[in-house]
Amino acid sequence: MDRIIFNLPGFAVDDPDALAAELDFLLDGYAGERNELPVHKRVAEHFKLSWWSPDLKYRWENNLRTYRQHVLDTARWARWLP
Amino acid sequence: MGTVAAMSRSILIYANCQGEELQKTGRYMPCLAERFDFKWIPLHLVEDSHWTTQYGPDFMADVVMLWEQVETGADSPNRTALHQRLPPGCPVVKFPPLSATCLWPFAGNDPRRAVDPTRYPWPDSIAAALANRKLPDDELFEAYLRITTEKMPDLDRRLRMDVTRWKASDALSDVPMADWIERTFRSVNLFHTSGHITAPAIAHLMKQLLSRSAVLGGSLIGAASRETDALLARHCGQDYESVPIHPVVAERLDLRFYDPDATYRWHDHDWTFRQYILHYIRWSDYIG
Repeated sequence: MDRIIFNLPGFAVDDPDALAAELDFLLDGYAGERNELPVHKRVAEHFKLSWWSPDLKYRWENNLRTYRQHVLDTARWARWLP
Repeated sequence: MGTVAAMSRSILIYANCQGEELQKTGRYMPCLAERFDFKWIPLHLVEDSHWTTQYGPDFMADVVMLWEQVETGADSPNRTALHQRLPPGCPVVKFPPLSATCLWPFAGNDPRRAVDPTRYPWPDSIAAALANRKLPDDELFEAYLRITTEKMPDLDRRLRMDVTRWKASDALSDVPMADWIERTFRSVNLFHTSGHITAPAIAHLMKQLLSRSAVLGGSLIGAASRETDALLARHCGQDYESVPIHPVVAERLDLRFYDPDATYRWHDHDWTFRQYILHYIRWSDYIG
């Protein structure tokens, strides 16, 4: 969070609307931390995760994997490149 | 051969940042572990003093092969220094730098880079000209699309200029890449920026270099090539700054891999072409 706050150009706490607009723009497309664990299909169905799809790719360091690829790579303990 | 003796063999890579990707891939190969190390001298960063501090006799002593990225023009003093320090008889495989300028035809001047060179290091001259326009997002992006479409250069000519450069580099190299790039770049995304490459490009180049490295021996070359494919299958390459491609460029160059809704990594963000252009025009802060 400190990285986000420090990146706000004005950090105008006296103007909440301006601050909110700056924050929205700064967070536009922000992907958060780059290591993601894939979500199981049944979990997605149970919680009705509308953003989920079987083709969704999850980042692990500099790699992108679908849920299926993640399971197969993990089962095979496949070596990967950071 | 004992482990200690076997470990004291290195393949030296003299190249720009693309060499770092080759080094990393080589170092993660199980079949080469404890047999060969990979060292990298970044040709764009090396300074005269480094030849006596970082790259002195101890550094060079175990080098059994050089993978040397070529440059057009006369040898630089650094390249001469490298050759003077190689162990006698060290075999060399020369390879070209990979680059593409036709995919980003508006790369040009942006005066903001004079005072802030690292915020957006891949300049866009049309976006720069819109920097002072105070417009809402939709109008600003529409203005960018309209002007860039009007000013779009002859991209076939730009491609021919790239191909000419690729072939000129090939002529200096042992590893030809021009034909492969020309054959592949429409169906597979090979470039994140004009000088940063994707995993398929790294994999192809790595396998070409391995296949010309007799010092490894035939069976190791085959194993290392297979491991290259496995290591890079899910990898994103040099994508920490990925500059989106203009939809008109994709259409006119018939880029079949192109997805107009694709997002491109920019540090800790994933941006569409529209998002990237708006952030670039406004020279906005980002996280990462």
